[in-house]
Amino acid sequence: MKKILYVAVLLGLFNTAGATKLPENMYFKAMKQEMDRSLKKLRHPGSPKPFYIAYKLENLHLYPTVAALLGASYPSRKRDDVLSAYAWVDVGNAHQDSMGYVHDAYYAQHAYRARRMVEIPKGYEAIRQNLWQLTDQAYVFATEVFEQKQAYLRTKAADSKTQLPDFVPQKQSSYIQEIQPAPVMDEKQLTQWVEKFSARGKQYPFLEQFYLSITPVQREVYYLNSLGGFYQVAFLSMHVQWKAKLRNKDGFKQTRTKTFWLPLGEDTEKWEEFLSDRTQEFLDDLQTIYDAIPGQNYLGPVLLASQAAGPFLESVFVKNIQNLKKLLPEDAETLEKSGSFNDKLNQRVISNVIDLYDRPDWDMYDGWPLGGFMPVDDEGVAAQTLQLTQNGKLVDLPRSSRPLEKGAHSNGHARLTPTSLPRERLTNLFVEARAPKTWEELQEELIQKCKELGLEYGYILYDFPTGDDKTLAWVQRLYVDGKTEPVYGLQVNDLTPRALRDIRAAGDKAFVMHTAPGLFKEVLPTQSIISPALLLEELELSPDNKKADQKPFVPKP
Amino acid sequence: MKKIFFLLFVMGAVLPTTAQQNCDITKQKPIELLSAQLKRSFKVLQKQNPPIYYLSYTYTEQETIELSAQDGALSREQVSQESFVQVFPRAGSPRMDNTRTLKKDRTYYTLTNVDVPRWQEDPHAFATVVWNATEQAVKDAQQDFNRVKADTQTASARADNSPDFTFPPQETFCREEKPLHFDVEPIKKLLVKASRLTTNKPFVLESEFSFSMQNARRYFVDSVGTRLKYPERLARLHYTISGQSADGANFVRAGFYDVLDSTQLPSEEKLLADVTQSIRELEALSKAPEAQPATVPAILKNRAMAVFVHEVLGHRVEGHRQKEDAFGKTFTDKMGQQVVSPLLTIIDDATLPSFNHIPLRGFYYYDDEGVQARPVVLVENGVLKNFLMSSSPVKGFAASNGHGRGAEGKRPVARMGNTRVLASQTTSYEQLEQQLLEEIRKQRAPYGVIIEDLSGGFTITQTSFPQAFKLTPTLMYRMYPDGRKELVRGVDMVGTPLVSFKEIIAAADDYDVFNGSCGAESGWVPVSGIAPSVLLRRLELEKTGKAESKPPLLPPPFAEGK
Repeated sequence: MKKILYVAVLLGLFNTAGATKLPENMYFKAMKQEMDRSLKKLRHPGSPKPFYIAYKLENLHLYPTVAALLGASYPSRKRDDVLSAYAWVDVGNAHQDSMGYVHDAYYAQHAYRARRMVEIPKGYEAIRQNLWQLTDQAYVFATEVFEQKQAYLRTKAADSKTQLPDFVPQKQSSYIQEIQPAPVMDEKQLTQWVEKFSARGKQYPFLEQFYLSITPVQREVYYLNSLGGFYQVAFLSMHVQWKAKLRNKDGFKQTRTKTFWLPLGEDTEKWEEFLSDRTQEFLDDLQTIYDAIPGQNYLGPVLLASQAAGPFLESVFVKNIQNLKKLLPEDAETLEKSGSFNDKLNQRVISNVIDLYDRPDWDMYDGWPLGGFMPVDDEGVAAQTLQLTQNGKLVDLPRSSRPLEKGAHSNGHARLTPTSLPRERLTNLFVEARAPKTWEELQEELIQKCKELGLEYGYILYDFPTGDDKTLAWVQRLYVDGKTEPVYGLQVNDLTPRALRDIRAAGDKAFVMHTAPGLFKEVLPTQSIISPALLLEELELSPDNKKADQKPFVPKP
Repeated sequence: MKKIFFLLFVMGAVLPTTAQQNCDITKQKPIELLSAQLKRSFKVLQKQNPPIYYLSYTYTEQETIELSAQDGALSREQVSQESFVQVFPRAGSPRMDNTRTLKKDRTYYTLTNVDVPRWQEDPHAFATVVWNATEQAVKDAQQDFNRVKADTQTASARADNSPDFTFPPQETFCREEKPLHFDVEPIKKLLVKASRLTTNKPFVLESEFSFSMQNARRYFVDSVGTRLKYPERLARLHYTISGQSADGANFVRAGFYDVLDSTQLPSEEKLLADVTQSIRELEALSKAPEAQPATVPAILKNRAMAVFVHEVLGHRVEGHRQKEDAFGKTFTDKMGQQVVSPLLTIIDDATLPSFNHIPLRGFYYYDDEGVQARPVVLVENGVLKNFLMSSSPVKGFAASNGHGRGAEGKRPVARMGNTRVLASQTTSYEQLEQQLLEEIRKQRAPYGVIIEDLSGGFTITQTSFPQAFKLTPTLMYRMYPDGRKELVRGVDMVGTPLVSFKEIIAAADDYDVFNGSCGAESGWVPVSGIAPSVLLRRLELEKTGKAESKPPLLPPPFAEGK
C-alpha cells in the first residue's frame, strides 16, 4: 500500500511539470529530445531502466583576457565560447536508487560525479550527439553503482521502519532569465587601463612584478530534468585581478593578489575610477607589507577586516554546513566531504551577535554581482531563502531531495559542482549584525579588549588563509595607543568551528567574496559570502618559522 | 646505374632549403634586449656556487588558429597571440651539469618558460620578466645540479662517461618569412560541412574536423654569442572518425592535409570525397573479420613504412639514448655494421621544407639549442653511420648535428626531423604486390598482409621493459595465395628492431610522406617521415587491445532506423 501511495505522489509531481513552457532554443530542444528518447528506449538487458535523468549545459563566453605588467600589455588570446554538458542518470527507484554510493574508494573523487563533456559544438545536432554519449555513459555508470550499492546494503543490518528513501521527488519549478548575446567589450579601452594602472607599479622599486588583468565573462546555464524542472540563467561579470610579487625588507618573498568581480554594463567612467582607486589601495597595502616586521606568538582578540571575514567563514562555517547527506559506504571520502553541522540543528554553533542567511534569489548586492544566484536548484526545486542561525543556534540546513534525518524535504539547495553530483550547498551567505558597528568602533573595541587582557596590542587581519599555506599575508598590530604596525610571518593555529562562538562584534559594511570548489574558484564563482568585519574574542597566531629567501643573483633591471 | 638514377630522382623530388639570411640580426630589438639581459646576468651567474657556465634564451612570438567542428557545428574557434621566453641555464661544468639523467632519482626535463608582455610597449617590463624568469631558472638549475652530484656519488658507474655538454658553435642567422595567412571563414564552413557527413552514421562513434595554424618567430641568444632569428610555420587540416564494435574493438580513419597556403588546402569536393571514403572504410572495418596472431609476409605501404622507421629505428639512434644506461642501446656498438636491410639508406634531413609539394612538419632552420639543421646519414646501404646528436656528446660523437629539439618548456634532447628512407633498388608498387604473392606461395603461408595505414605506435627503449615496438594498423588487408584481398581488423604489428629491419627484401618507388607529431622526454615536436612501400619476409601480428566498455546502447540520435 505504501508503495502505491508513493507512486501516486510521484505521478502528482510529474504533472506539475509543464506549468511554464520550455524556452525555444537549441539547448532545451536538444536536451528534451534526447531525454525523451533515453527514458523511452535506454535499457541495458538485465538492468533497471533509468527513472530520472537531468542535463545541464554551461556555456562560457570567454572574452580575451586583457593584461599588462608594469605598463606593458600581453598579446591577446581570443577564443570562442566553451560549451560543457553534464548528465546524470538515476536507476532503481526513488526508495533505493543508484546515487550516493562511492563505488571505488581509490578513485573517490571521480566516483560520485556527473558525466561531463567539454567543448561541445554549439549546434542542435551536435549537442544531441554529445548528450547521447553522455547519457549512455551516465546510465552504464548508474547501473554499475546500483548493483554495487545494493550488494553493499545487503551486508548491513537495515531497519526498514527508520530507513529513509534515497530520493524524495519534490515539486518542480522553472526559472527563465532572458539571455542576450554577450555584449561587445571595448578591448582597446580595457588595454589602455591595464597598461596605465599596472604602470604605477614602476614607482615601487621593491616590486618584482605588478600585473593587472581584466577578463569579462558571461556564463549561461541551461538545466532540465525528467521531473519537469528547468532553468536558464546567466552570470555576467568582469574579473579584475592584480598580482604582485615582492621581497620584503627582510628578504621574504611574497605573492599577493587582489580580485574583484565587477558588474558588466556599468558606465566606463565608474570602472576607470574604481580601477584607479583599487590600484592605489593595493599599492599602499604592498608598501605596508614591504615594511612589515616579523610577528611573534599571540593569543588574544583579533579583528577580521571584511575581506578576511569571508574566507574565515568559508573555513569554519560554509564547509561544515554543506554536503550533509553522507555518502555510502560510511568511510567514503570525496573531494566534497560531508559537513559536521548535520547533527547540530538547534544547537549553539555561533555567537549571537550575528545571524546568517542564505539567499539564492539575490543576484546583486550593493551593486556587486553575486555568484550564488540560483532561483531553481540542480534538482529542479525552487531555491528558498534560509535563515541558518538565530540567537547563535543553527536553525536550518541546506537540503536537497536526498532526505536527511532532520528534514525530508528539499529547500532547493542541491548544487552540482564539477566534482560531485548535486549535493547540499550554500549559495549567497549573508552575515547580518544585530548591532552593527563602524570600523572605528570595532578598532576601539579591539583596543579595549586588549587593555582588559593586559595586552600591548591586538591584531587586524586583512586576509585569511583558506589553502594549505596557513601564513597570513597581510596583518597589522593595533597598539592600545592606536598606533599600527604591519607584521609578517604569522599563521593561524588550531582553527576549528569553535571560533564562530568567539565572534564578539560585527561591522556595518559588507564585502562580497566569491568562491567555488577547487580549481574553479578563479574562473566560475558559484558561491558568495557577504560579510562585514568581525571581531573575534580570541585567536591564536604563531610565527610560521619560514626562512628568508636568498637575495637575487642579479639586481632587478 | 639504377642507384645513381634513383638518387637523382629523389634529389629532384625534394626541395632542400639553402637557409639564406634576409634580415640584419643586429637590428632585432628582442635580440638586443635578451643579449643585454644575458650579458648582465651571465657575468654574475658564472661566479655563483655552483656556477652557471652556459645560458640561453629562446623568445617566441606566435599567432595560432585552432578550429574544430563536430556533427555540423563548430566546437572550437581560438585565435591567439602569444609571446613567451624560455630560459636554459646550465649549472656546474660541461663535464657534469644539471641536465645529466639521474640513475636513482627522477630527472626533470622542464625549463622555465614564461609569458612576456610586448617589448614594443615597454622594454623595461619585458626585461623585468626575463630577469625574474632567469632567477627562477638558475635556482632550479643549481638545485638539479646538486641532485646530480648526490646521485653520481651513490649510483653505479656510467658505461659512457662522456661530458654532459659540448659548446655549440657561435652562429648568426636572421631570416624572416611572410606569415601564413588563411581566411578562416571558408575553412570553418568547410569543416562544418564535412562534419555533417558523419552525423547519421550508426557505426560512427565520434568524429572531429580540425584546422590549426602556427606562425612563430623565434629569437635565440646564448652565452656563446649565437644570435638567431628564424620563422616556424605550420598549418594543417585534418579529421578523425572513429567507431567501436560490440566486442570493444576500436576503428579509426583519418585524413591529414599539411599546407602552407590556402591554395594547398583540399577543395570542398576533394575533402568531402576523402571523408566519404573514410566513412566507407570505417563501415567496412565495423563488419570486417578479426585477424589472428600470425607471422606472415607483409607489405608496409609507404606512410606506414615511414612510421615504422621512425618508431623502430629512429628513436634508437637518438644520441642521448646511447649513453644513458637506462636505455637498451640497441645500436650503440653497431657503428659501421649492417643493422638494416642493405637495400635501405636512411637520412634525417630537417633542411627539407617539402617533398612532392607536401610541406614537411619536421623542417627547421636551427634546432632548439641554436645549432644549424643539416642532413645526417644514419644508415647507408644498411650500415649504421651516425647518430642523431644534440649538444650532449656520446662516445665517439663529440658534437651536435642539429637535432637537439624540445617543445616549449622542455629541455631539448636528440630528436628526429624529416626522416627519409631511400631504397637502392625499387620496383613499381604493383610489382611489389606480385612479389608478396610469390613470397606467400614460397613460404606456403595461408596469407600475407598489406598494411595500408597506421595510426602511430610506440617503441620501448628502456632496459627495464622488453625493448620492442608496437604499431597499430588502422587499415589492413589479408592477401591470399590466389590474390584475393580481405579487409581485417584487430591486430598490432610487433617485433624487435634488429630482427624486423633485416626482413625487408624489396621496395617500391612510391615514396610518400607521413607528417605527424612525436612525443618523448622533451615533449611533442613536429616530425615527418618519407618512405617507399616495402616487402617484409615476415612480420609478427598480435591481438590489439579493446575497449572495456560496450558502445552506446542506443544508436546515434540521427541514425535511428538506419
